[in-house]
Amino acid sequence: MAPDQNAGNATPTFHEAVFKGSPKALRGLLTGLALGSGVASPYWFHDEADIADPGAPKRARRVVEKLRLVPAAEVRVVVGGGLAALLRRLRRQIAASGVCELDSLRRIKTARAALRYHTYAKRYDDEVQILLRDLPRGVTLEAPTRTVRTDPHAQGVEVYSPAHEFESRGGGVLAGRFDLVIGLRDRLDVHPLIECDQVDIVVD
Amino acid sequence: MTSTRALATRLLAWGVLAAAVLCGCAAPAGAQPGAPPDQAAAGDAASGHLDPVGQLPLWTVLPFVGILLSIALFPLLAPHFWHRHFPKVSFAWAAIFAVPFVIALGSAAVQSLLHILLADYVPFIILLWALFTISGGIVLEGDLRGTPAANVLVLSIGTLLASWIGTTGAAMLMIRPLMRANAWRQNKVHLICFFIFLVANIGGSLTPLGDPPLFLGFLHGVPFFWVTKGMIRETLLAAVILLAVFYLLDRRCYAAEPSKPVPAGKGGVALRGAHNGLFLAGVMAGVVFSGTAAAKGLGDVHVYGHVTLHAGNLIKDAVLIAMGVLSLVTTKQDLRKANGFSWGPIQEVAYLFFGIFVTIIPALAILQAGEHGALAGLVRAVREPAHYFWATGALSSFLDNAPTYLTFFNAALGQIGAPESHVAGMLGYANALGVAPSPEFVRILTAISAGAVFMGANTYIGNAPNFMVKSIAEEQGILMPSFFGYIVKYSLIYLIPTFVVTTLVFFL
Repeated sequence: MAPDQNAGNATPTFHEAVFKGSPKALRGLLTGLALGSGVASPYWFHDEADIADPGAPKRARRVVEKLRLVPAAEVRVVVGGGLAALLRRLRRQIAASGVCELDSLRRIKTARAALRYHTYAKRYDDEVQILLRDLPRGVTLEAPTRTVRTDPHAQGVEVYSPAHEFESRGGGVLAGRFDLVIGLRDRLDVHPLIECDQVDIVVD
Repeated sequence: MTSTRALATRLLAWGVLAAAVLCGCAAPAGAQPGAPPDQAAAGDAASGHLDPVGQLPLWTVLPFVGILLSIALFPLLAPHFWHRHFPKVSFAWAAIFAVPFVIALGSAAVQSLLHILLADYVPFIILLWALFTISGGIVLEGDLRGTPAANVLVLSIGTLLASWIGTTGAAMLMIRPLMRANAWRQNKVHLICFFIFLVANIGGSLTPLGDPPLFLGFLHGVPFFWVTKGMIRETLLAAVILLAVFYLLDRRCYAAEPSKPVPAGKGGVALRGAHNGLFLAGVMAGVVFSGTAAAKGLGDVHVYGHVTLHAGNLIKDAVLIAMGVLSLVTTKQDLRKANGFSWGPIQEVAYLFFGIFVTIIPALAILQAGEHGALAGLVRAVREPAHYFWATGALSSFLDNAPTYLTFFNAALGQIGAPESHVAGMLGYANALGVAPSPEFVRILTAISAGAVFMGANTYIGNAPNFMVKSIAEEQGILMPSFFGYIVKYSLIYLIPTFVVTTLVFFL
């Protein structure tokens, strides 16, 4: 398989592709394209990878679609640079095949995912701080917030006044390259004390 | 710090001001100072002898409402203020009621206060102290695997234990083993929520030792083993439904875990401090003894005015204290340390229930007066077992379930027009008064008991151990749902349908 166009690039690129057609057929198309061309390019369907649709009306429509009350109007996928180049090149052939139709293909400038954490013990707070400090190159934590409250009077077990001796809460927005942000978001989201939002993408 | 002090000072100042206002207008029309508090029974009311305490106006229950709302709201809205100042808040509400009450009704009020403190509050605290002390000396250790089957086993054991060592004791004993067994899991919030449902609440429904409301019922004449017999079907149904649902849910969560630990060791469990089981048996023997005819035949000890205490109850309290002291003396400290044992929880109960028991006096008296009291409307509206189940349950969900039980227990007596001394007879037990069994009262009391105990699980504030379990879980790295999150994601989905089924099967 030929390497993805992104491979070896100092700044790999990602694109949001919007299709009309069946998600299953599209999945087949993308897999076939990648296999047939030998481009090992990743792709992420928005609804599976928890990527936000742009704007409230589209998000509301997605909820209705998930309930199967209306058919899917469009399918949004993020694809790597290699696959994006193929799609752009084969746009007409894809439309002629009748499987689906590429509506738009736009480069992703940046991706963002908000996160929050809340801990009630110093050791868990330390754990979260290490995770948030060791961010991969290409991702930053924007607008970080953090408050720590300690109350030495609140030690031990209580039944009617369950104040905690230690409490920390905070958050921020992970921002940077799409693949790094979504990978980190998925890794942090499985931590029991960290909650992450959907990934928002900013396109050209 | 300064602001919380200032707030506490302001609160006390308002308390004193309110007390002064109440002094000026607390004396009800036709008050008969000096009347004995025990004559608040509806039977007396029906015979034309209206007890002055029972004729208190409805607004005198405001301090009671105030302390219940304080317990419900302060931990959510101002947890650190509440942590430091809850004894002052409790005493302030007690004073707001008691000071004008004594000034207005004199000896009758003093007798009411003495009666509720000596006959209800002190034995209540002694029982909770004994159970808490003894169960705090038992440690369950081991190498459980945290599989769905093992979790169902732990929840089932906890549910069974709760009726014999109290919901607080069972929760304290079982929560850490459950969390240790599942420490490797990513998704374990449901374990804690179902633990709250079953071990911290529903499991405590089979004896008066299980949950404070039922012990209050025992103190007010409900025979010890009536609870076991009367509640077994309802408890079994609710517990089996919830355990089955839990198993299915946990199996799905277990399957979704990305990695499962390789079993190490034999996977057994060990019970340390098991000799405390003897002291638990001693507590039960003491409580059961106090309800026997032999204990009642020992006579009464006169305290003041018409206030007397049964000698059998004093012996029971002495036995309970002895069992607790024996547990303290014979149990190694490291076992208590392993349970995270401290006196904090029992001190909290002692402070808060002092305020609750003092301020509940008018509510109980008014409800006992039945259709002659200021809450005649409520007594007339809540008549059927299903009404009692949901009314007791709804209030128990948001207010402490012990005083709620006592409130509806008295409403039921008011509805039927019977005094407390008729309770055992109406429940079908042999009695010297020759009272006939009352199937209506049996059904109503079952509904009240089930509502108070079961629905304490609906919110974090419904029963004392709920918050304790939440707090321990949070400090062990489990992000528990918020107050409303718990209601929406767990209570409404799992508990309320279970209670609807319980109503359809038993209370309609």
